[in-house]
Amino acid sequence: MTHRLAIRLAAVTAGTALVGAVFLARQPEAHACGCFAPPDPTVPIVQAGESIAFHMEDGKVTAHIQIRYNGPAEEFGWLLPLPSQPTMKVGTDELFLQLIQQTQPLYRLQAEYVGNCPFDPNRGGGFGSSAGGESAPDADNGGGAGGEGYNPLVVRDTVGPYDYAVLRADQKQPMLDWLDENGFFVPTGTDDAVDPYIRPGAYFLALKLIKGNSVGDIQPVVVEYESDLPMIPIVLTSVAADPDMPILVWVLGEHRAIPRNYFHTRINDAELDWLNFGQNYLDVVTDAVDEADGHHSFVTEYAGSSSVMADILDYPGRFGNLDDLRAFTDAIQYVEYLTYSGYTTGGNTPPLFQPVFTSQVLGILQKHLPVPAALLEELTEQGFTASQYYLNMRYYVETDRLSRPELYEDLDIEFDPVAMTAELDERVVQPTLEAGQMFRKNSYMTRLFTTLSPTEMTKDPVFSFNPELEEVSNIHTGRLIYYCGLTGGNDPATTPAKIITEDGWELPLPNGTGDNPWSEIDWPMSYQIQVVREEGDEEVVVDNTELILAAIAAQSGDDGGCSVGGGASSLAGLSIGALFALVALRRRRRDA
Amino acid sequence: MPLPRPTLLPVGALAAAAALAACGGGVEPGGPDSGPTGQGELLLGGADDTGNGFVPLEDGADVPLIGGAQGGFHVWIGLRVRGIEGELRIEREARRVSDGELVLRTPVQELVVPGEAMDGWWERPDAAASFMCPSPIAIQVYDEEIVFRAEITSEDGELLAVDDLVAVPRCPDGDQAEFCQSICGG
Repeated sequence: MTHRLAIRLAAVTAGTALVGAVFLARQPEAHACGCFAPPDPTVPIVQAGESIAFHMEDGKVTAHIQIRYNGPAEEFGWLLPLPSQPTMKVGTDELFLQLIQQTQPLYRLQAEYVGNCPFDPNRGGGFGSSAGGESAPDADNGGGAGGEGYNPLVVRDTVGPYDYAVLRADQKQPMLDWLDENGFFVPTGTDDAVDPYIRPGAYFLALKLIKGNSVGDIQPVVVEYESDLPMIPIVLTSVAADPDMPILVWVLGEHRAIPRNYFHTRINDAELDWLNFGQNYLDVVTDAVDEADGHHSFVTEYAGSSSVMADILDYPGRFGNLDDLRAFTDAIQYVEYLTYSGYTTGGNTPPLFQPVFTSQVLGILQKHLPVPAALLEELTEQGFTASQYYLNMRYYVETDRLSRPELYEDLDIEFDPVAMTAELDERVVQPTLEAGQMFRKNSYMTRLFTTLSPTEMTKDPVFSFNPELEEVSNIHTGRLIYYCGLTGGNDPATTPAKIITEDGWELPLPNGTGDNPWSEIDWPMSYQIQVVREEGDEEVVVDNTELILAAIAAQSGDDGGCSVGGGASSLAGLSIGALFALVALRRRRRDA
Repeated sequence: MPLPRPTLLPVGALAAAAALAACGGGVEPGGPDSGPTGQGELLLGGADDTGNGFVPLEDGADVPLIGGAQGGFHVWIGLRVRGIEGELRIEREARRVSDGELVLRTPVQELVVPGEAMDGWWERPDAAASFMCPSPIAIQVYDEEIVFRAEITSEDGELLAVDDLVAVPRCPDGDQAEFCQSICGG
């Protein structure tokens, strides 16, 4: 089963204005977060990934946890160990949609032109443009561095689509028995995996779907509990996880967050497929973090102001007036009010760049105003979702229905606006507005990412803060320099060129961008493996600079040297160039 | 053997300790202290096994590492306050005495001190679960002297009271011993 993390990579190549947005739709098939428990204990439910947003306030951790699950609704179960009795609310998927969009790593190349490049969009008929003062390299193609009677139940209640229970976790067997007796099943392997979490004063939060709810009703949960630091109980997750499971964490606070007991990796950005907007990013990160001891390492993908999320979830006027909604008796008017009052999202999201109803809103709409079955089937075959119907409900009900009445035989637009509005308020409005408040209360946001396989899930990652660390942009820009000479060819794909990555590695493309020799290099995937603490700068424990430089030199030599700019270079020349580049990069870092 | 705790330590000495720590040369423990303007006093101690109340501790005392859920361990740090009141802020940190390595620094938290603290010691009813483990990479925290420090400040950041307490976290015996040592060993 392939699990993929959605990675949006927008790219701009200067001049040709090749602006693109690539959606690597890494969609999970069967997945969830935390620990999952099917009725059949021999069939583990596979998790595709964990997405968690933490924020801290007055000694309390609030965790927004996105639950991804594709199995049958009656087989959904979820367990989360907690250090104190939690409060439980429902969250919103939109939080994660927007967080991903606003902080997604983006790799792009900025093109520069040396010589007479006919395809230089800035070319005004003269010879060559800038390249930022770059001269055609001849030997500088090395890289830069860059008990009995005992009842474990504390609370049982419902919230949103969930039936949940908070259980004392000071004794294992009574807790597991209670889960079994009450339909919260535990998968094979959980018995042992929960051991580290069985403690006096500890709790488990268990979820299942209320009967009548579907998998589509699953929405994030928000738990709040007392703790100095946020932590992911990944050891428990191991019983139902996939190989190289992506783990995406946002930590909000006053300062940059760090993985306290995991290493920190800077990837070797020379390995990225810069010409294709870093489409191999997930593979590079996966391999890079695997180079750390125990495969325990995170990559910081963004560290900086949380203002990138300001006014996105809770902009003024969003969701309109609920009293107005309750007053509607016409279903079409009701849905149109939702359409124009911020119950949609994604108007700026590729590939369609058109708003859609969020999954939570869609679930409520389908419950109260279901799409006619035959029409939904047709829409699905056409690649649409129910959102298409609701966004154009007036057309479908008043126009299309007249011409194709057979598709609308089960149309039912009688509804209870008060009940529907109450559900929207509980499951959409309040969770979204509260999620938006996180970004007002916390000025700084850090996005950390790693992948872990079940056998690597031996240590629960803990996050803390370090006020001294620098910000990390999610936008990465490299340089693509074309060397056209005096009579450059018309085809950029065959024009000698060079990529200079953001970290300063110089990667010659002697035969042009159409022949990239840098995709199969045997070199470290991590540039540096670091220890980051709650104070001070990063401590580099593994520096692969020399290995990367050597690999670049070897590759260039195998190619008979770099001929960009018309000059062949020797391995010795490459090494000297590499050394200069290394010195230059180090000097830049010191200056920074 | 635990050392008797000094009753007062000038802020300057604490600053020196902090500076020493910053230089990686270890930490000199302190005792209860008042802030630079002498508004208040703060005294750190322990708590009972459930984290309630205040148990006076002498510098160097053993404190148990308590297993929390989510696989971690903490020590209970209780506190007493005198001479200040109101909606204040508290910051806590912990360093290994031998080398000054930072073991824990918590985000700033609100601390509401009632008016009774103006007439005598007020004890916070619930101790702070000071997160210890998993400990930072390569930093062992069990069987090591750790200096716990807390600072109380006003809402605008003015330092009102500070105290240090040196304690030696100990892993529990029995089933959890090995696990504790593994995740508290850095």
